[in-house]
Amino acid sequence: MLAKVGKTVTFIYVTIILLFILAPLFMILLVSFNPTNMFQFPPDTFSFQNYTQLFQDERILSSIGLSVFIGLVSTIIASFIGLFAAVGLVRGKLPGKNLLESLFLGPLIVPLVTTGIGFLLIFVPLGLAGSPTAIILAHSVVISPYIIRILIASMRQFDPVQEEAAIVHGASPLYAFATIVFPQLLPALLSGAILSFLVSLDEYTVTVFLTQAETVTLPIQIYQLVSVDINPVVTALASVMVILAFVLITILEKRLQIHKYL
Amino acid sequence: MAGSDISLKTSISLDSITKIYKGNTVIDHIDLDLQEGEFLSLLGPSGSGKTTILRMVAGLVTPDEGKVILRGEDISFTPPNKRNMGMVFQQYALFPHMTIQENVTYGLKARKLPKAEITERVQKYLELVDLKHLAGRRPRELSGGQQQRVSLARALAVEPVVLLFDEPLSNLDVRLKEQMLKEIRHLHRKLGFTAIYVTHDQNEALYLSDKIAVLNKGKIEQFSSPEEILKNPTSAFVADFFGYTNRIENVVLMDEQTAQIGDVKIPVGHLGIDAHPNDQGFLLLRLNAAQILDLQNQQTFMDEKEATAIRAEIRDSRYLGDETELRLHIRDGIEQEITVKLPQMLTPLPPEGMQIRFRFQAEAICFYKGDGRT
Amino acid sequence: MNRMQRFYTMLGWIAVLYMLLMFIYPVLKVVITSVWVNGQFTFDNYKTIFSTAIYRQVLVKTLWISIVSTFITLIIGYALANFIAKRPAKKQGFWLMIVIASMFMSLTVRLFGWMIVLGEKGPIIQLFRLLFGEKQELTLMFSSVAVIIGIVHFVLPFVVLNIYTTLKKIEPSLSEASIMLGASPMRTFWKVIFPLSLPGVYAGASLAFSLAASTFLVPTILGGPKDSLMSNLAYNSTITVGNMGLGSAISFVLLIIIVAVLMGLSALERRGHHASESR
Ligand SMILES: Nc1ncnc2c1ncn2[C@@H]1O[C@H](COP(=O)(O)OP(=O)(O)O)[C@@H](O)[C@H]1O
Ligand SMILES: [Mg+2]
Repeated sequence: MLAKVGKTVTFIYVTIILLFILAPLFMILLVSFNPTNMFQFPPDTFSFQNYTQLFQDERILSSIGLSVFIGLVSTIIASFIGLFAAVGLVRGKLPGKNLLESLFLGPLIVPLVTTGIGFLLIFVPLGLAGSPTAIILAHSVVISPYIIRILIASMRQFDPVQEEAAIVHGASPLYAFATIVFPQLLPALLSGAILSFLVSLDEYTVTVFLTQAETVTLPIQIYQLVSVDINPVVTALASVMVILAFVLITILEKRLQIHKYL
Repeated sequence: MAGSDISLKTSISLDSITKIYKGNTVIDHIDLDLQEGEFLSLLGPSGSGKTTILRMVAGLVTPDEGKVILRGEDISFTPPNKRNMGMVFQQYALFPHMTIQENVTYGLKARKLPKAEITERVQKYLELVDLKHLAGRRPRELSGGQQQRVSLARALAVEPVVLLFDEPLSNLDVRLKEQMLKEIRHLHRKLGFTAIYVTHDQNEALYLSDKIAVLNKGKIEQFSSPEEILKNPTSAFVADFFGYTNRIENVVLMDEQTAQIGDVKIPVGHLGIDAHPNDQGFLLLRLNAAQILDLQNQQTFMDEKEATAIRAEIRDSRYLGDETELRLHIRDGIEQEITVKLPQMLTPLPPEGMQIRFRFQAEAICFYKGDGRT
Repeated sequence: MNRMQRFYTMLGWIAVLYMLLMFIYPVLKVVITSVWVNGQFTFDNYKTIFSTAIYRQVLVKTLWISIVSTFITLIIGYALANFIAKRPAKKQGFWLMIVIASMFMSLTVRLFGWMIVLGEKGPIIQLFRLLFGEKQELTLMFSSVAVIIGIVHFVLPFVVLNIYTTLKKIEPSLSEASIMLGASPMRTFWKVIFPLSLPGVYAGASLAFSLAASTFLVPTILGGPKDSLMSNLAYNSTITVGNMGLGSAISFVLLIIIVAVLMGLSALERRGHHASESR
């Protein structure tokens, strides 16, 4: 009897939490089929108009292009930094490793506005403010902790005796790294890179300090379209992003159990 | 030894090699010479420095003093990948992301050998270790024994100047161990490679080696052939390692062949270093040091026919496979205990308290000076 | 192995240098800008922050909104993490996926979703009108409530994962033993499971607070004019007003607050740990 009550209570609160997590996402999917008023619930019309217009909207397309470009380049930079940091921290001979680990994870702790203002302060004198270069460099720092954390965990699991086996049998350190260590870090690096890419695609706070008219990234564009010049096409865009993120995360979790590294 | 093409040339020498970790001298001025085609075992308890020596030969550890000389050339500072060695690790150290074939190919690719030669060699060595049928598998799909054979093939494939083994069998169960021992010996006979084999198991060392170096705390206690070591362990430490597990204290050496304790004379087969008549010392005895003369009941055990027979009381007895192990309390004024093993199953098992007589076997007894506890 | 280690050390240094140049240097530049006004060293910007009523209000608001959101998130997060950890192993994957997906789902998009849910023509207000009649007034958007909802939604997955991870590390045999010794499930939870899961709670709390206190986007999208937090204030000062020094100072105060709270939490955790050890 008591157990049954407990089960019912659990069921109710878990349902409420789940609803809380998913409600805004479902809402977006729902209203994306309503081209007239995206804030209307329940929707009063049904059509695919938002989706067809999505692929004709110049501003949105160029924002997507810019954000994907920035995301890719900054993820590549962050991947190198993450890889170097992880092998250096786990296996290198660096002084004050605890402090250095805080340095690498620091961008998660320091408020994004602080870093954002900092980037603005250093990029303005260089004439880089508002340029994709500035945003790319800034993103590479902000997203790197996600890669570093996964790679540190992965590198700690790696048995160094494999490197010795490689070297004794004729491999130079670089060759051993490229053929033995790197391939085994690759799954972790890829999942970290995908997560970082998603973070870069969604980065708003730091970017807003560096953006200018010609560098409107995707999240800034979305903000424009939901708050300033309201346009229902954004619902289709948001729906596509929701579904894409779900698919990517599902793959990552099924393949690599990424929750263990976060 | 191996093939007739192997001339007696020095392959590798260690010249006063020393390693110090944080002020601890882990390897203390060790000298060793190994001929081409010889199989050397480094034998010693855990922590005695075997692995460190092996790693200095491989170049994975740099000596703090002394030289590693390979075929007359000082290679002390040659990086490991330029030494042309092969190594078999205790934990196999296979590359988990590669197939068996790719593992064996690894050293050859690193050397950028021509494709044809790589293919030919990999086939040859996979066949030698009987793994050709598993070439496409990954290491984790193989049993421990199979993995260790892959590891062996990977090391053999580079046709190393010296093949190094670091306790390769200690992760395997007894039956597999036997099988692998045979295989390693067979391969050594067939291929004639030069090998250094690290182990803490004297039976492995005895079975495989042309030479054994017994290590204790970073120093070599004895360096000689298996026969010599078995027959004549030069120190108590070595004797202990080779089955001289019994100890009789407070003994005086009478002459080269006899020791005395109280009124009893005990024949001695071997003398430790620096042992001279009239020295005070102790005896180490193998498990076969006692030849049992009769097993009788206390009542009938009265007359003493043989002058050299010693009386003892059985304190414990048990079967070990088809052998019998007895713990004896030696009487006749010695009043010390030894354990002996008889090569047959005594039926019934002699009961505790039973009196027996036995005779010491000289060839299983060594005398050492001092108390052996330095 | 020295050469391999040297190789790794070299790579490590490259990463360290990059972070010094691209992360520490900008943050230092913020600190310098905040105390260096017109070629002079001065704490004027900090004095302005603490002596101006509006700024003080924002500071206080940031603190209480962060603290309230942190507590709500911890409670919801613990309940969910505990539920997930007790699921059969196979079903945990599904729940974790939902948690992680919402973690890496675009926050801009999620907050947009909340705009609709909480909006004037959204489901909650529609339902409210249906129940209480058209005349009843209820506004959710552009309020502190909306901001707190947004922050909780933003921070929840981080907290759930942290607590879940520590819950998974607790030996199941511990609670079995406790129940076998006659303790009720309730007592078992409070005496055995909960104390052992505290590291996860502290880690979750730290993360929740620092994310909440520094959020910029949530008040921007869901908050009204009165719901500006420190980050928004810093942005307005630097970009809208163009006072770099003041903006830097505000953002640096925020950083100091977060670091102080994190250190306080870790001290609290250590004290709790010692107390339970000596018991
Ligand atoms: N990298 C190292 N740093 C410090 N001490 C070490 C290191 N490697 C080995 N030692 C020490 O050297 C001694 C010999 O070790 P090792 O050669 O591994 O012995 P064995 O292989 O005979 O067990 C041990 O006391 C060990 O603790
Ligand atoms: Mg060893």
